[in-house]
Parts: sequence; structure tokens; C-alpha cells
Amino acid sequence: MKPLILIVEDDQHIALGLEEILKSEGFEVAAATRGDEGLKMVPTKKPALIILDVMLPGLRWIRCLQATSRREKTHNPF
Amino acid sequence: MGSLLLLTDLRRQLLLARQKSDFVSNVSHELKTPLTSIRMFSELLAEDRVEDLEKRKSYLRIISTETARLTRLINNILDFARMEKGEKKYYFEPCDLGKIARGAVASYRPQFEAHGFHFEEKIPAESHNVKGDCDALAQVILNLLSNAEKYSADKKEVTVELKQRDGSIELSVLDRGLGVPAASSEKIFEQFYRAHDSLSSGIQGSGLGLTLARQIARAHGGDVTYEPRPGGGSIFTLKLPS
Repeated sequence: MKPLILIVEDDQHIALGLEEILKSEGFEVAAATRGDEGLKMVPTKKPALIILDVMLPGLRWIRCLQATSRREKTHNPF
Repeated sequence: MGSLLLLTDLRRQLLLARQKSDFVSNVSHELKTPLTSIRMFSELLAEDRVEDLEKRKSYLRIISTETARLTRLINNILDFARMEKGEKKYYFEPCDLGKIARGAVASYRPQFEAHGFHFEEKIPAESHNVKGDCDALAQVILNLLSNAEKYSADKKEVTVELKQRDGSIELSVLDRGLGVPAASSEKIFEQFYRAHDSLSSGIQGSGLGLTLARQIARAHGGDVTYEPRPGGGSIFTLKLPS
């Protein structure tokens, strides 16, 4: 199974470019445009890596990091 | 009395220093965002990673849209610097504001389309003549469109309307976005001021767009004004003497 990378980025062009590059490198990709959306996807998608924009609507990046660290005790994908 | 004035002035200086520092950080981010897209898509195309012809075309369009975004930002910064030094020059000539608005809307439309906006253009076909600097007036309209795009959040509906009033022509940009807190409705026209903090809202901006728009409008004997939109959102209007 291909490892999944979650992109949380509100600029649609940057998200699309990253997605294209990562897919061409053989990864599976999921994307969210808001911090809170991205956070909701973590338990179901179980990403191997999360690429998170610093300036995001919905939930500040630091809150995303804190919330994921609390949930994912053994693995922090950031 | 003297100490109170000194304290007020010190507070103002500190606020200005903080706004300038935020401005440098915001502008750096604003410059890097389109540059990142341009670099990513040009490298994807240069390395032949995209085989689908339609995708290749759409990536070229993204490069073009992002280049236009970068140009607008740089023009705003250069114009702001010229205005600060009192060196901004206007070349007044007869202009059709309807034609200028249609041109500005056409160049901005790809940006709205790329971000899923419902966009409505209510610009009558007849001429709306003003005496002005056509490029500067186009810049005002582009800044108002960019402002509407940035502050629309999830309600992506923008309308541009052009109306003839008694002795004036009014071009309004209406959105259904975040609006402006009542306490900030005039401050948003001050240099570097931003009603919504970029770190908490995720909305980028230099804090110059509306300042420049108003300064250009006033140099034409007109103004740019803000009013809340009934039902939510904002209305920014460029008023010019006809």
C-alpha cells in the first residue's frame, strides 16, 4: 500500500502543485483547505506525513499540532 | 498636558513600528505564495512530469494567473512608495470607467474561477465617461476585487456593479464575506491596517490595497467608501465625478 500524505493548505494552486508532485513520486495524497478540516481527516486517513501551512483559516497550525499530538500518542505525522 | 501628548505620540509610534514589521512579514508571505506556485508548476512542466495535454494547459494558466497576482502586489508596493515620497504622477485623460471595469474584471476572472467563486458582472454596455488616469483607476478596481476575494471566506459570491448617479459614477464591489467590524470601518483605509489578523484568520494581505485605492480615488476628486451589505458581507464603492 502506498503511504498517504495529507496536505493542509488553503492556497488551491499550491495544494494542487504539491499533490501533483507527490503523486508523481508514488504517494497517495489527501487534501484539506482548512485546519479544522485537516484535523478531522487524521483519524480516518491515518497519514504517514502531514504537510501543514502555517497561516490557515479554521484552526491555527499550533492547535492542529497540539490536538494531533494528544490523539496520536505513538506517532506524530507532522 | 505635555507628558500626555508625548505618551500619545509614543503609543502611535510604537503602533506604527509594529504595523510596519507586520507589513514586512505579510508582504514576504504574499510574494512567496505566488512564487511558490510559479516555481512548482514550471518545474513540473520542465521535467515532463505531466503527460495530459489539458493538465499542461491548465498549469500554464495557473503560472499566468500567479504572475498577474505577483505583478499586482509589486505595483501596489511601488505605488505606495511613490505616494509616500509625493512622487506619484497621474496622467489624466478621458476614460470610459465601464471599459476599464470590464478589463479589470476580465483579468481578475481567472483568479475567481480558480477559487470557485460565483461571480456576477453588472456593467452596462454604454460609456461612463470620467477624466482620470485609466491605469490607476484599473488598479483601484483590481484592489477592490482582490479585497473581496480575500475576505469572502466560505461564502464565495462577488458582484461588480456600475451605476450612474447625479453628477457621479459609482462602481461597487459586493461580497458575502466576513465584513468589517464597525470600529474598523475607517481604519481599514489606513496604511498597513488589517481588520482581520493574518495569523488567526489565515488571510494574507499587505494592508496597502485599500489605502492605495482611496488615495487614487481622492486624487481624482472622488473616494472609496465602505458600507456593510444587508444580509452580510461588504460593499466597497469607488465614486468618481462624471
